[in-house]
Amino acid sequence: MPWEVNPDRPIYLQLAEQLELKICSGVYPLGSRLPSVRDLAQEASVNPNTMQRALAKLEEDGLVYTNRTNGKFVTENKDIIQKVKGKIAQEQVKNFLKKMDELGFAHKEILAIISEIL
Amino acid sequence: MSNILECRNLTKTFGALKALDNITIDIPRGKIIGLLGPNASGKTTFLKICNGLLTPSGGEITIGGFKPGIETKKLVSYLPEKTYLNNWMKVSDLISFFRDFYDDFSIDKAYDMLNKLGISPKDRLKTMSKGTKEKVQLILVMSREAQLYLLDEPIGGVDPASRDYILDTILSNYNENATILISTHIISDIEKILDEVIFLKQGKIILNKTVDEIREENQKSVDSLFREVFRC
Amino acid sequence: MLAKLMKYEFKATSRIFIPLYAVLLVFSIVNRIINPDNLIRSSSNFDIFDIFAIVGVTLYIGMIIAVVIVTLIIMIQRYYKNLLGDEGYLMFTLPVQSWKLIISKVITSVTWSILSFLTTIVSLIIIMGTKNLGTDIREIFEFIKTSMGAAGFVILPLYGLLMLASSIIMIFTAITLGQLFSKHRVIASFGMYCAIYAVYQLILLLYMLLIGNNIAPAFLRGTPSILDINLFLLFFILFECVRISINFVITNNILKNKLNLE
Repeated sequence: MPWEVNPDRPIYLQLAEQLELKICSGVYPLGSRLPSVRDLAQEASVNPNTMQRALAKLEEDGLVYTNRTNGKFVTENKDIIQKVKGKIAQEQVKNFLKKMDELGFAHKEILAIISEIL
Repeated sequence: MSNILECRNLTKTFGALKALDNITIDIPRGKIIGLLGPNASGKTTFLKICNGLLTPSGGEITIGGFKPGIETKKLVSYLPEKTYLNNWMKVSDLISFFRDFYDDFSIDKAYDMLNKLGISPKDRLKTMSKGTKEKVQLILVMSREAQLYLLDEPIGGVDPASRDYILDTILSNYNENATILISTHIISDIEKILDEVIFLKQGKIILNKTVDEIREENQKSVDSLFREVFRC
Repeated sequence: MLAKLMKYEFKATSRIFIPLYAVLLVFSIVNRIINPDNLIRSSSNFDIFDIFAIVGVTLYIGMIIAVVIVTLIIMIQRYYKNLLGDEGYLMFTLPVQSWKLIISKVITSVTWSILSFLTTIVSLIIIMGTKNLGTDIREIFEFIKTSMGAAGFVILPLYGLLMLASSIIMIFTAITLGQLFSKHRVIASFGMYCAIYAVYQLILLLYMLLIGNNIAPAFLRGTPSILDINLFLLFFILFECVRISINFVITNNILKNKLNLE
């Protein structure tokens, strides 16, 4: 998954979101060691300080923890991951519904479209 | 000392033209900072004064606590906008040259980067395209373990793929004790790697903020803000 | 650091001088083989050899002039281009003191001047043959010995060297003074050279008037002693030392404190 960075919003927030996604989708599995800040920053072509800030946010949220000598690791707590997955899902749905609302679809019509596709 | 560069009321006039007007600023260590402004806003003049290539008309500037001189030249690595290397020299000559005069020059790093670009040590600058020459100059500058890197328009006049390469090189050589000051008017490619930006207009500093402050306060990218602020 | 600077100076300039000297020497040898007596015979028997001879001699003289001119031009160009042109961005960001930059160029310029001179002498010897060389050299040595004594063998070369260094530094000073102007720096440099040349001529005149009382009588009488001649040259040596010092201080001061690279 390549990194997508849009300069219109604070980059560290975007990086945090994408890290969340990678963790939830298993790119960085439970309990695994994350690449170093420098490597991640280079991969994403961003300033290491910015990547550090993104990781700090993830630590605040409990998704990541720092082992002083060994670097940063993904949490082993499945519940936290589930919670985050849920949060991401909710955000995606809300965004989707917002767009559909702008187009003027009623909720029944939306459900019908979804059933069709699924 | 937490600031690598401190500048008070720095002024530079060329005859009737005020290239720098009362510049006062502190530049901290460990950050990548953009010095942004349109052409002729004073960016190059500022960098030249930092390097002792121009003498200020007024005010003062210190780097690492020293005024521009031998001690600062040991800690500053400068990439000028122009081709400033002797054309007949081979790449290996240039590397020996840098190694001879700079204690902090890493030959291994330099050859490593050159190898990856497929540049042979026997090549002469004369035979290289402009883009390749600029990459060689950048490699020489970034192969030093300096405390302050001053890059004047490192990505101007270079194709997009080369720009990516240059930005990656800057990032991979980043170390948290050194500061990189990049002067440019091409902002969109570079803003992802910046910590802070300084807007320079007609020799005056009109803005000095972190990039996140700009994005949060203005809901737009630094590039968009720049276009607004400097609209003709 | 000074040694390193000189290393690079020599590297940069030998690319031009070595081939130049080689061409001159080869040409002398060729000329010597084709035209061993360097004679241009009278017009009554004008034939192909005469044409070779004329062309050969003309080209030879041209080459000698070329060596002189190239030496002067390279010296000026190195200083101007390498320090005050685009390469100045490299040289002045090196962690070396400005005086070392100046001295490295003075030493290399003096060296090349001497080498150019010696190469010319060698090529002349090749052209004219070594028949009378031994006697000629002995005559010169005798002359120096009688007029200046043993001291002459030290004082004369010393004076020559100082004159050389002094002229070179004065050119550098003029170029550097030209840098103080914001426009038309090249013309300003020429102007500055004329100006400081004139000033030094004036000072020299005053100086000679000053020492004239001590030295002149012996010369006017036509019988200067060995001591007189040596003293005379020593006064000039002193003058050159002062001139070198003043010019050097001016140049270094400007490069150190008033640099304004384009």
